[in-house]
Amino acid sequence: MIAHAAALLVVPIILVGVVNRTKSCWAGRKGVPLLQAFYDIVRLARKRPVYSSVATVFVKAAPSVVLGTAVVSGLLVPLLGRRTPLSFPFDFVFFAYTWGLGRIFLMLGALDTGSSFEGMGASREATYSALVEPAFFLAAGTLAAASGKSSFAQLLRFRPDDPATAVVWCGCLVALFVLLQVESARIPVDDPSTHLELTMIHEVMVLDHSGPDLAVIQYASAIKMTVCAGLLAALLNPLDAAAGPALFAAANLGLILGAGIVIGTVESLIARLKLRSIPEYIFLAISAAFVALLASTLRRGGLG
Amino acid sequence: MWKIIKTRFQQGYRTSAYPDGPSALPERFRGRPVVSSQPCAQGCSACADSCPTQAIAFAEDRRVRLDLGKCIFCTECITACPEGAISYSTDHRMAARSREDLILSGEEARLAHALDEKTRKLFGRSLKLREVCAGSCNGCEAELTALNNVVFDLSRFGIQFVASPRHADALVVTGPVTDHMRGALRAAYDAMPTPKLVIAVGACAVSGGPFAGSPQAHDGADSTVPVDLYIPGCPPHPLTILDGILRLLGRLEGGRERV
Amino acid sequence: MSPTSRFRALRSPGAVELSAIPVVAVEEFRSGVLRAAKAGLRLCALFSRSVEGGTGLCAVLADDARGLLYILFSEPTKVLRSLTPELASAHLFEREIGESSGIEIEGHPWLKSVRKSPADKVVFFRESGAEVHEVAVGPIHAGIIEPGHFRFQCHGETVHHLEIQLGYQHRGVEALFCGGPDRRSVFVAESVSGDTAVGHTLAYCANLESLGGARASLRGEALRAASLELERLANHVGDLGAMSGDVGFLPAAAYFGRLRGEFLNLLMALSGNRYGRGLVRPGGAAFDLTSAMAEDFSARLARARTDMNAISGLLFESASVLGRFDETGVVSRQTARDLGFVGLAARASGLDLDVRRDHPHGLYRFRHIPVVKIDSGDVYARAMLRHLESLRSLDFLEELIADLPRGDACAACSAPRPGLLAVSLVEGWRGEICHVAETGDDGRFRSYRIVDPSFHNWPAVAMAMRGGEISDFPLCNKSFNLSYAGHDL
Repeated sequence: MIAHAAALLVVPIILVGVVNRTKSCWAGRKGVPLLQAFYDIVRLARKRPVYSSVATVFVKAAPSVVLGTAVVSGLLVPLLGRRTPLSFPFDFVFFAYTWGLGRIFLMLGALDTGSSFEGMGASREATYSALVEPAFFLAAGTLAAASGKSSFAQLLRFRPDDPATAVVWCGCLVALFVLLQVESARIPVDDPSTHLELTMIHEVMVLDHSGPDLAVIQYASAIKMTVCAGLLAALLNPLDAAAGPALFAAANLGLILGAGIVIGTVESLIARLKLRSIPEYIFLAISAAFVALLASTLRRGGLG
Repeated sequence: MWKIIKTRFQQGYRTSAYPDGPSALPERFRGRPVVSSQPCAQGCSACADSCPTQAIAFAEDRRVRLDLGKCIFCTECITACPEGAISYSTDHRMAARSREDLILSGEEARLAHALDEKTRKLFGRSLKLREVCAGSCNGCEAELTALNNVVFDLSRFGIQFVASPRHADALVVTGPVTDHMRGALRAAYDAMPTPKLVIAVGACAVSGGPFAGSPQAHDGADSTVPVDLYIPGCPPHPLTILDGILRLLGRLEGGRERV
Repeated sequence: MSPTSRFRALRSPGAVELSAIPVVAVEEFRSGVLRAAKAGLRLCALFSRSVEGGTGLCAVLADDARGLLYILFSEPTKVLRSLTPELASAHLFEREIGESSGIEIEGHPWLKSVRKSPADKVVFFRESGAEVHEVAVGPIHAGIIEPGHFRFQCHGETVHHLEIQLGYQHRGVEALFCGGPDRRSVFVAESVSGDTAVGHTLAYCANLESLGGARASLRGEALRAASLELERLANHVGDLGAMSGDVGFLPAAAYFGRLRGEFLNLLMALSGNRYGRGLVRPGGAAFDLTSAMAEDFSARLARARTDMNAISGLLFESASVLGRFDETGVVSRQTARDLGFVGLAARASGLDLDVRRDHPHGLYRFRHIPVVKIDSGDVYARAMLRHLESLRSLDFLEELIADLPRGDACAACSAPRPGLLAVSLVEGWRGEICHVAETGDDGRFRSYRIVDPSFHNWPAVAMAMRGGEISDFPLCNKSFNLSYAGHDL
């Protein structure tokens, strides 16, 4: 439990560092130091925030709610091992709605600043997250149905043992990877280092936050990315209970950081999509999850 | 994808070793001017008369005083002087903390010293910059953009340019501050959270440059915001800007430096 | 009667006596310019000039096919019936005349200030309707870029109309030349638009040479041409890198960024300044290439060409990049012709315009660069055009450096003679730069007018965005990469 909390606090910083170092490596530059996210957060925490004159309670409340929901969602996901601090039947539904709560406060905070860019960003965020939610539910639901379990800690242990389950497993992996790209604002959905406010989705919503508020939001996004990577790692981890908890946890963390390298590599190889094409890309995730659902249903029906 | 990998190997790792390695600037590079400490002949003011921005004056003892903040690094004074009292070195280090420190007069140059300990601890490993162009011709912008490329790689020091003044620690100002940009510049400064810094980059931001005295401009960033670091040049080479910022953060040598 | 019979003909660069330029009544001026434009001439400049008795007008038109310029003056007037309804390319010139001289422009469809009023003091075109919203960007933008104000009328993510209001970079450049040339003048010319230092200084020096009756040395012309092409290369490569960065294609962005530095370093090796400041001077060039340097340059240019081909290959073969570039920000050829776009923006929309071929100056009279044009008018066209023009410039440079004319880099240039008007056109990397100088009886400038290619081309950004997506705006804007400082002077 303590180890899980420690991982939830430390791994996000390292994961952000790994993604950035991978990108630097591809570009041929020395790049940002590995722990830069930590230095940034420490610096931001020591600055005095500035608030817009039209801002009300939402701008000030948003960072705490966003961090709180990110941490709670992190407690539901098996980052290190086979047990999670929080676990109950159908907790993946609670997970999705926790994220939803965080998202709505982020959007309200963005709208509260009265800036037209942040309003645009909020509307884009609402659209794309609404589009990707079915993919998440289809994937998690299919894994639940296929494995017969209903809690994250257990349904992510689903492993393929015949062609049909292999299709289920692959479809869910694809869906979860696209979910990571959408929720963590990575290329091809969004460019986290862009300076073009008219193209931003996530970054534009935080343009008016400063000091500790910004530190909290940056940290929360890193936690969200870790959580998504944790989902993938748990689904991919090849070891089983016999390997012992320490080795299992190490493998899991290794896979999470490996996911970081994959994210960084994907970001370095392709360009970002036109905003109008993002729903098509998300549809890819929905289709993959739907195919997984079909495969699972057919298998249980005795076919395949 | 294979092509990208192949090209990556061809392009290789390009970040320059500076500041741990040499700066590798060519012979004709016009770095910090070197001014003779000998008094000049009475009645000769060829250099001052030829300077386009009136950056050269004489002290009472007839020694040349060159204001680096007004200097646009042309070659007029070098050509005009019959004695060779002024020449260029290839030293790129020029940034200073105050306008007075920018005046060269034969003594050693007073380069920028670091911020106080508390601010250095705050910004030492993470400094975010917000750039505001207040009438610059775009030359300084181009050099600031070059700082982000793989050769100079500003990000390896934890220094990055950010999109919003609210995210920034230091305001980088270029241009002589035109009338129309004055309000916007002040608004950007006010929008930044404290503690904050201001860095004036280029001759225009330091003193107005070639546009000094123009009624549509205000002769530099000083007119509108309090400046912490002055980086002369027209435009300043990326290494000059990098050297100035690193000195400010105390990441080169600590304390006052005389060269 | 030929449409240009009332004009005075001139080749660029060149000077003509002020007294030899016909001065006609303003109605005849107006109809003369319109008739010439209908006959296919292109408007290069239209501005006011103060004379005894008030403020008159001056028009400079170009016959690109014959390589001639035509100039006409008007008598002092208080009112001008707008040419814009019949000659759309006059629109911005008339707005500038309206705000800076005392002349009233009648019948202009959208008479707003160009440089004198910031965005919060002017009226913008507003669209009304359900779910229509207005987005305002600037003057300060999120990146490292000059200030300008963009007002979008949007419906969801689609842009119906974009209006651009500049003027934030107005430093009073033209006024600083008056009374010159003095010790500051050439340095102001270098700072009109910092990334086009060589282009503007070339135009300025060509004017001084015409006014003084001098010629630059041949070797000087060669060095000038080399530096102009190096400037073109540095900017084209930089733009390709920036466009790659804007679409998130990191490899090309990183590699092009470094390659741009290579060209700037060549300029620095030659002149001591990465932008070629201090290089172009009246009479030729202030710095020369030794033969050792020339060999070094050739080797570096060859390496740059290999890099260029490799990196452009990556960029133009990436499907995700092409998906962003294709059919984004389209400017049709008709729009480009009607609004008088020049340079890169015009050639990407299928117009065949290049000052180096049409009004050759300096070494371009003897060595030619093939003109590239593409017809699709989209972001892809502007990107591909930069790549192709870079290759042409590299060819030109390699031939030139291997075989520079002998002689001095700089010849003597005498002082300007009184009572003359000089015009010089230069193909800067964005397009046609036009400088028009007039000397008074004392041989000093009584007026100095500059038309940067961005002055012609900013409306192209507005036209390209119509019907497009607002999230494509940064890419579109970067595909033109126009100068705010050059527009605002």
